[in-house]
Amino acid sequence: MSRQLSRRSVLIGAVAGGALVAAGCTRGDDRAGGRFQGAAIDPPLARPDFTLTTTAGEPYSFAQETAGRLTLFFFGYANCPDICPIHLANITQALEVRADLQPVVTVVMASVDPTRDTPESLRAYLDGFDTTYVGLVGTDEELLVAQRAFGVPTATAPDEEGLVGHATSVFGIGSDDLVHVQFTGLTRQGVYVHDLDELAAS
Amino acid sequence: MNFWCTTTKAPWDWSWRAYPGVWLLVVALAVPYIVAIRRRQAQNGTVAGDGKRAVQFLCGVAVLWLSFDWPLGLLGAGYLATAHMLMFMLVTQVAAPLMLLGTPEWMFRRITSRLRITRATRWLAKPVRAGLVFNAILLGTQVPFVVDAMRPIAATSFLLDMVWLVGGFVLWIPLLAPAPELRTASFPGRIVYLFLAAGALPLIPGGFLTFSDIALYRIYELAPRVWSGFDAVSDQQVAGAVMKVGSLPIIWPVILALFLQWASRERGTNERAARPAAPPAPA
Repeated sequence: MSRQLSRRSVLIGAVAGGALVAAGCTRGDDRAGGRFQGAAIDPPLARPDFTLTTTAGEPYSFAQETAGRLTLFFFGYANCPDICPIHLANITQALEVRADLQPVVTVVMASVDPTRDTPESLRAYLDGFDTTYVGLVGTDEELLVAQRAFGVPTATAPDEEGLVGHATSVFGIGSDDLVHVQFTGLTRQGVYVHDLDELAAS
Repeated sequence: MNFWCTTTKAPWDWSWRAYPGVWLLVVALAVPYIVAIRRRQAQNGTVAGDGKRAVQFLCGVAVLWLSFDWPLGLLGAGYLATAHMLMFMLVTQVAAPLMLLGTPEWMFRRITSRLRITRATRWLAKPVRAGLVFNAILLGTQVPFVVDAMRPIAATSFLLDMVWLVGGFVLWIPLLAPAPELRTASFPGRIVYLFLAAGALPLIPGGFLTFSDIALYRIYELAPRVWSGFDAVSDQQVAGAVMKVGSLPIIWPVILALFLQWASRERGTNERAARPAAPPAPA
């Protein structure tokens, strides 16, 4: 009896231990010590200034148009297979949870794939998430200025599979016109929900 | 190539992928079963019901194959919470009972004896214990941090799936154990047990998934979308619905069948009781 129990106990312990070890091996979310759960930018940067074109064909001076507003900005493209739709989906869900912040948040995506993302196609893509999201297009030179303004590497041209290498972070800008936090491509909805509160308080 | 379906960060596409661990499992279940049945038949001749049981058992193994292999296994391991929940339902509500139904009594006794789990099986065959253990397995294997931790590693993903299979056996032992003494004798007991263990209790965790307004599972939240428009929260809500009602198409027909069997048995008992006693034989 005791031998059977002992064998059973060892088996149960091994299973539980294995699960715990596996849990320990899991990569954690983006966390920084301090107020933000995303990667805090310390010291915060000034809201970048550059001009691109909206999907309606109008010039969009980023600093002027978003001045004083809580802004989430990132570079992406409509044919992005993973990071960009995850960003948009998680931001959209976070704003549904914090519906009270929707009127004060501007979400902006600048396409780094000017050859394929026309204003019309980019608009249709963003409308699949939220019709209020701002889509920006530009020439290679204009996009270079914008990427440098955020201090991110320049996006590459589409490869043979149509993939564009680009900076994957979403930048969180407070109403104080400072870039406080960046979110990587694997940022969870809960992190956005938490940090939107912090940005709103900035 | 992974031996078992596991989380991958690659965008989903419908190109076939090989998971040899699944094939090995299927072969390891089916081949010894067939060999054992054939050997028994060679020694003792064919027993009535052998063919039907073989079909049941092999159908159960086929459902396991469908659940664990590409595409459902891969979708469940790293893309869709709905697929994960479908896998759970297929393994615990379809494959496990079919495999139990298809296991002859002599084989069941031999397996439990060789694995030294006869006493444990007898203990688990009590409905309250079986129901609690099954639901503990359900809860324990659906908790987000467990799924997030176990699915990205092939070995633990395999372990998770095997725990489901064991959970399925535990659930159905009180009703379908090949050894008759392990089955719950009372029809009302069986009906109440099945309703509570497989129908009512899973409503609770299913509710958490359905009514959460943010994604709970990291791997499914951050996975590339399989279908645009089917976002992580919608996927989770459907998974919750599957957990809540996915077993109903199985358990309600079983409950109905049990009820009819019970009614038939009661009718037979009443008819025998109402029949006049046979007159005594003449001296």
